[in-house]
Amino acid sequence: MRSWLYVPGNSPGKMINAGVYGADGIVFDLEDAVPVESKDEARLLTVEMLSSVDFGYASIAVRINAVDTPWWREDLSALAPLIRSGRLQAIRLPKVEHVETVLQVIDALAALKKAAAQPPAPAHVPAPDPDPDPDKYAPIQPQVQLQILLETPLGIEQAFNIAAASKRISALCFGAEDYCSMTGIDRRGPAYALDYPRSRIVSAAAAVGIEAYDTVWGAYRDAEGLKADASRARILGFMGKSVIHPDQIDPVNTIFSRTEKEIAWAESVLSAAGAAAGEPEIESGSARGVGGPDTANTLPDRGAFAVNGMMVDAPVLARAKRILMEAAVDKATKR
Amino acid sequence: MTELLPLKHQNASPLQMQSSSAPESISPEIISSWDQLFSRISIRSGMRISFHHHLRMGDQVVGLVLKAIAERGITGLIFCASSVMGPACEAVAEALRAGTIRSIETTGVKEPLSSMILRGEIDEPVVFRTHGGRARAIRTGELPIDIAFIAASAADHEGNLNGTDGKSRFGSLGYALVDVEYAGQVVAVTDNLTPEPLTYISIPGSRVNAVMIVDSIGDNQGIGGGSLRATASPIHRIIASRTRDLLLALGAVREQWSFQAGSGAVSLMVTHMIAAVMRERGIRGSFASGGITTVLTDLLEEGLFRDLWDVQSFDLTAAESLRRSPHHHEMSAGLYADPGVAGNIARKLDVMILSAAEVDANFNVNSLTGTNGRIIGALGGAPDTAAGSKLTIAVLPAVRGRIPTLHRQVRTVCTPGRNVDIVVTERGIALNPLRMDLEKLLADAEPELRRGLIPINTLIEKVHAVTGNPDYPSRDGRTVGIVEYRDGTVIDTISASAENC
Repeated sequence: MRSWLYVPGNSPGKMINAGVYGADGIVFDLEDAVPVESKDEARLLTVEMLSSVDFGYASIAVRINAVDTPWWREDLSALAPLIRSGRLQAIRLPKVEHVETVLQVIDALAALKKAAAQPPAPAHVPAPDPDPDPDKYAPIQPQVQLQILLETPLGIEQAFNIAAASKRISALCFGAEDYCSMTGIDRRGPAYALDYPRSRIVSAAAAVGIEAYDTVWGAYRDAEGLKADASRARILGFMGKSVIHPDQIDPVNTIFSRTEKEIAWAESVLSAAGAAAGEPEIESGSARGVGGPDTANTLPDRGAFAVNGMMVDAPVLARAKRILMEAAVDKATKR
Repeated sequence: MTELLPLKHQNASPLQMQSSSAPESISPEIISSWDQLFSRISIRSGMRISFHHHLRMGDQVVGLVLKAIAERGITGLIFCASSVMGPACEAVAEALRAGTIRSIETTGVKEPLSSMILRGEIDEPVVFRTHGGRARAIRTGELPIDIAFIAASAADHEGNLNGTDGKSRFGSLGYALVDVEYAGQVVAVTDNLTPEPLTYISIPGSRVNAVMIVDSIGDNQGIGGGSLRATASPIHRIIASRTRDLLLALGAVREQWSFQAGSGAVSLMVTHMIAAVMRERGIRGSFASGGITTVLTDLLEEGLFRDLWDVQSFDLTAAESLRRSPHHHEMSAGLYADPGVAGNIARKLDVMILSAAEVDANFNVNSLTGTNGRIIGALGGAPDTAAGSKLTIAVLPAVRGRIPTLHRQVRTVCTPGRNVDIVVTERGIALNPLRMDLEKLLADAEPELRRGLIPINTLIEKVHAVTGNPDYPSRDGRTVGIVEYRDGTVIDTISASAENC
């Protein structure tokens, strides 16, 4: 996922169009973008929109309010039908600093699942169910994922522990504004100023096999600043970036897509590996080899080999396979 | 009784006027007071007076003239303009209330006229004509103009006029050229009488009866206003980029191609994007036409279009280019789009990008009224160029303010669907079944583009699934507007509807 577009949950005009811009994912926001007096309205509107509007190929997430606010439980309750139906792929948790926060939310989801699995207590005279929806009492599907927003120095320092807290966590996301505010870093300063928290997040995510998404670039008219910020994040290993304006999607998608040069290199590695393993040569320009025989596992037995003067061993082969897989996903989702 | 000016053109036929460019040519009288002007021209109830709208949002001439006429107690005139917008609309509304004018003929209106029309406050239906249709009607005598009031940014003592010199310069006088050619009397209104002869002449003094000097004809900063939309939203950018990709996939952007885009935000953005492609690939087109902007004059200067045919200049750079470039041509509305003029530019166009307010299942385009019935736009030259162009693409956001723009049937038919080949929205691209040859051309297009192709009915359903089915206002009121197709036939009507005001 290269780009996640934040859309305020109380802005129907923006929500209606959210699926047409080409973002890989959409995050409907119930948190910071929504003023306190509009929390209820945004919750209802988001559920209604997600129930009725086709957002195309985009994955859907909702950023709920933080667990130290009075709204997050209501947010989860309102989203339960969408979780149950599979309409909502992820919940983004803001301002996470402790493992306990993640567990608290998982417990809440489990409670909702349990409540939904049980029909209401019968009345004195059992009445026929007026709602024929067969899924009404179905359990909440387990596939809703959690995306964890790390926005504070404490959250950054706890990155690995938090990432490892649950299998439901699919991504760590960086939130730089609060982090900069607390550390005194100038967000509009040199991009390398955020190398430490970014690297820490990427490393923690990679350690447990999940994705890492970079923070937003708030100056949405500053296209050059966005490119520099996104490029730095890409170099440091992020898979994608959150954006706050549709105009930021194309540049971010471009920066986080695999380049033709990378793809050509990966294909040459896979091709050479196939030849080394006695398999047919991989066709140029295709992503064949991805999902094929696991040459990464067989190669160590055969030893390393060279491609264009560079040594290829199992980690390099794995990287080549990952590049081709990502390129294939980029191509399939390009729109 | 007014004393008639001994004008050489007084009540003359166009033929007589042409033959009167004789050696004994009399210079038009230079007049500096309205009293003097109205003592020298023939004006009476029932006459048709005409104006151009080249100053667009900055025009003050309509207001000055109507006020002067009203002060002299003249009533019952027919107001015939190439269009009316900005402060001119308020002036016309006032003249209607006072009875100075009794009916309107135009290509479009803005508030407060729009609401007056819908409320039925004008006795006679407003006649909406295309730019080409108006030129045709004037040429054929169907629309005889008694007095043409011509705002000019410069006039000399021989009555020669242009719109390219002076502090109020606005560029082309294209719409006015037809009026001048066929009007019984021609009164120039200018704020710039030059002591020396004009070196660039749009309208020769031989066709001008009087030159009225005023303090100001208007604010030329307003020529980029009105329907012209310079800013674009992300949705507009998506539509524009898809249109660009479509044109490239169809092979339309090629050597010697010709191109026109409307004044809407998406159309202007398409022009920007196409310009970038032409620049990058070194493609040299033959001509661009219609309303001219800096984007097009830049392409002219770079040699990427050989000629510009300018019926209306949309910014001061375009006005300056018209003044000095031998390949930037001032074009009359007749040459632009009159279907009876052989070799009209509309017929020579390869590609026309048309901004639409609504499109329906039959590809009919409405550019005049909103879904709610309000009059929001104009016919302009779109029906003319769509009919003439080899490829016409209608561009529009599928949703505006949560209201769908695609319908089973448009509120008002302005451009018939048979002349619209493709509709491009942010939610899909629909090919007119009459042009399935285009689908073959797109067989090898990028998968991303092909994925966007969708039957028009499916596209409509898709949009309505998002917005809900619209609740259309009634059309039960009396007819308050007549929409004329370019050939003079009535293509649709507009009904009174107080709820839409």
